[in-house]
Amino acid sequence: MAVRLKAAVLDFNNRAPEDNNDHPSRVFIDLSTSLSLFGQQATGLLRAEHTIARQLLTESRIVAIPFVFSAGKLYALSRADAQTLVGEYPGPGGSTIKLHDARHELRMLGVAPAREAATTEPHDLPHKILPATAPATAALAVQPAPPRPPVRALLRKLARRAVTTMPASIREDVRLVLVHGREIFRKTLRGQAPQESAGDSAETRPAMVAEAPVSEQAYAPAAVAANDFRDEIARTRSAIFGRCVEIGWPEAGEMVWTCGFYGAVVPLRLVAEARQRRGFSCAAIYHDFIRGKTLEWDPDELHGLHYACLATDLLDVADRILCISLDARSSLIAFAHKFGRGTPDVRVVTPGRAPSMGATEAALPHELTRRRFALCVGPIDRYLNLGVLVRAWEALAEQPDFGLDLVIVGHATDCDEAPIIAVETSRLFGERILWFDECPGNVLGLLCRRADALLYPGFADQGFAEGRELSIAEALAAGTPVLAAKTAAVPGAAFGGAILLEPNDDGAWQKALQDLATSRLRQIPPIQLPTWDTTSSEVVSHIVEMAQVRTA
Amino acid sequence: MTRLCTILQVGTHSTLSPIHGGQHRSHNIGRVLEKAGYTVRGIAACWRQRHDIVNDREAILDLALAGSWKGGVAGGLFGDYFHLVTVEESEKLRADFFRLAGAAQPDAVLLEHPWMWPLARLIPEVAAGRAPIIYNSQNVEAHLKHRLLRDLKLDAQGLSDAEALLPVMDAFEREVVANVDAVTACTAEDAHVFDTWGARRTVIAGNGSFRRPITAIRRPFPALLPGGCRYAFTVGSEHHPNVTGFENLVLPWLALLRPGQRVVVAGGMSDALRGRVAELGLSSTLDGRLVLLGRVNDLTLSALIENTACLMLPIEYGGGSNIKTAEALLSDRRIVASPASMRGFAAYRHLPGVTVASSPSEFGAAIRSALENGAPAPRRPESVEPLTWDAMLAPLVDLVGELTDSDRAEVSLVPSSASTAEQDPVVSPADGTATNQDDEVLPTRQA
Repeated sequence: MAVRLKAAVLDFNNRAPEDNNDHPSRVFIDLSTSLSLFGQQATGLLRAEHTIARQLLTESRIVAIPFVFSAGKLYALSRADAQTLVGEYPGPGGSTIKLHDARHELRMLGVAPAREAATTEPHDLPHKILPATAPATAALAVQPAPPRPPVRALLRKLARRAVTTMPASIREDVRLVLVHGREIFRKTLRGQAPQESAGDSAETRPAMVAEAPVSEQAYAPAAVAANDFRDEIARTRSAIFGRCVEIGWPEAGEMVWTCGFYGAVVPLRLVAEARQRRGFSCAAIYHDFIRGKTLEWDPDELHGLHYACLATDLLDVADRILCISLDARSSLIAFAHKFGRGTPDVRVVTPGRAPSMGATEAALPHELTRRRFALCVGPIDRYLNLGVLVRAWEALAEQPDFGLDLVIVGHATDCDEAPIIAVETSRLFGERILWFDECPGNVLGLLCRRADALLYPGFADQGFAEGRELSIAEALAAGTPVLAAKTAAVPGAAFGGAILLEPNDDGAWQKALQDLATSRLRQIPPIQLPTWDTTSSEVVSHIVEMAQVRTA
Repeated sequence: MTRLCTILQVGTHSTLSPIHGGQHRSHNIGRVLEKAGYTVRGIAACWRQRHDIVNDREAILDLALAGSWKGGVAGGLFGDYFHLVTVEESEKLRADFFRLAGAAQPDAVLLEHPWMWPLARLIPEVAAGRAPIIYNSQNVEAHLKHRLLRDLKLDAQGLSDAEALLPVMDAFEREVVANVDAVTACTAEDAHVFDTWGARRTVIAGNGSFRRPITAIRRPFPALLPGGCRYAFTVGSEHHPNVTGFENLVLPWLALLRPGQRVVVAGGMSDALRGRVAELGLSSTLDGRLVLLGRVNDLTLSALIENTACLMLPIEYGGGSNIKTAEALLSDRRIVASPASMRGFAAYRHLPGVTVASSPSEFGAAIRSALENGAPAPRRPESVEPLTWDAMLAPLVDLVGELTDSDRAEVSLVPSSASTAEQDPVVSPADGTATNQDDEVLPTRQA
């Protein structure tokens, strides 16, 4: 084992640690999430893991050992494979924005990936102990998902048309009957498996599927390209994992850095137990999978147990936790006090804005080219509090001077049906309320700039994950007004540049939106914000500082 | 030599190779009666299982031979009653019942559960008044079924069927209680109910247990339980109260376990819990906190109990008394129990190392405290001595003696099974766990 580890270390730093007079500390960099989500757009947590790891891999003050977890064991990655995992890996189109109800065609903006499959790269580690057919490898392999049949989209379209033809007095009832009928069909007739939680690993999620267009055969090659892309991703990922080398747990004086999917991809409980036995240290980030509701968790109720487990896992494993707001810090410390975890070392790093990556106007979905719209970025869950926006639009839409549409960007979370139903059952859905499931970062930046305002009515803590808070920064940097909830860490993330409203004050939101629609809100002066790279650098500084302290 | 007095046990489950709590009670009643010098014979109307033992002590009326089964009504809530229906409607099984009863020539009939009453009352010796009949209750069935109905998520049809059948069951049990010669109850509360129903005589003979043999196995599951790991343990069958009690009292606070601490579950209830945890989307979340072992053999069970920091008794309802509570009290482990699980054991709730907690947070706090402590419970063995099966069932043996007033063998003529039984895995109340079927001592109650 020691020989393997030494070989791995040699590969990454081109020198043996014992040959180094400075004795830099070994930092084990967890890239499990990067391997698990390999090929997906690097937004949110994945972007955090990529950006920070890229800096750590080239950091001279530490010996960086990238690795992944599988079946509770650690497997070291070669430098080349680590860089592949954290590098740019555009999808078949590079950036794809997809409307939620699939009524609209895909917008293919780029070309197929130029990178060759990693299977052609030479093995640069001396031992390979896990056969390619091992269960762990199989578990990590992408299961190509069949393209969704166009008939589903057609059925949706027909259903929606049928609803619009109904007399107004029964239209809502018919709509609800159809929505619930669909759920019954999904859950009963198709025997849909019980949903796992939001923290599920990528293995349980459907692979990124490019939906076939409904009517325009011209887009058929896009689906083929998407399938090819998935196959290539699967091959590359399997090859990378096949080249991994099992290593032991770190020793005292060494360190683990992780920002992965807690509880699913990264076995934090095992790490915490190994840390107790072996004395290594660990640093991690507090991300917004651990919702603001964590603090309200009641150990007499099952509700919220998932998030409470994530929070205690984080507190138990990490010597230092990094978050991006004072509010997140104080809520985590309060949780720790309440449940007997002492006072954790939680540090705040400055949240930076997401890089815009230079998307041009051509990337704008054609549905939005001639609209005025306000933008709301989610994951679509109860914490985004979309209901207040849906209610506002339903109240304001009939007014002649209200020319704004609502554009929602974000994927639906596995565990929350209610907000999805709230949006889909709105009479404005598909007309004045548009929902894009997938939106790459560059297009999101473009949407932030083009929107009349960014809306954030949610309750959630600020974390390193899904990018909603980074969208606030992006909008502010672009001079786009921000209407946001006066809760949790949102005011801090808005740098004083947002209009803050009570999250459930329907009247206040409607008035603010009316003002927005009638141009009484003007563009604000752009705010100079730190970049995401700055944030990553701060994180790296913390890790290096911890590593050096441990070594000393 | 005169014929030994014969007791015929008639029930809806087998007793010679006990798995669940009801079987353990019946098994031990047979054992103590044999020890007291009676000949014990049994007729069990049930589905024969692979682990069942059939010999001249007990015959199984295998319901699989009947060809029809109506017990699925209302989610199977009344399945045990339909054992009777199946036998009654099958000419062969009915004939077999009376043939076996005739061959036994019972001096007394012990009705295990009330369900076989309509047939038992027709056994010639009973009908002629020569053989008294004792209803050995395990709980108040009607009350339990009312409570179970709340946990079974029945559809409208099932609910309607259940509501129609509940009064029938209630009347059925009342009829049994009022017409038998005596009723034995597990708790004073149950006895009071039977008294109000007009029982001629009621005797309390509660559930007990054995001291488990020391296995000296330090780490029963090194692969699943990391070295140095402390765990709280519970074992139970898939019986609804076991599953819902765990879900309500244990699952909610699992987030608060520290690294190196686990909650371990064995027995049929772990299979039910596995499904429930997946339904809740918590499978991966609870990985590293909750270990669901499934059914384990008796040696493993002993080792798990011997090594646990704390035994959990999270049952929230159910009739009778909880066999696992007696087993836990007889061990030297700390115990965290719900109030319902202490039913029938109220005198023991203030013993050292016993904590009774009613809310999840209290339950969790007590268990986490035990996990931090890790030391055995400071209980004196003599303080729980009355909890052995022999002691608990003594009133029942006396009752049978009074009612039969017949010859029985001298105890010395029959090798005592008590001393060996305490070492015998089959007689341990491993409710919900499989027993070691390869052990040749298993088939017999006596040596």
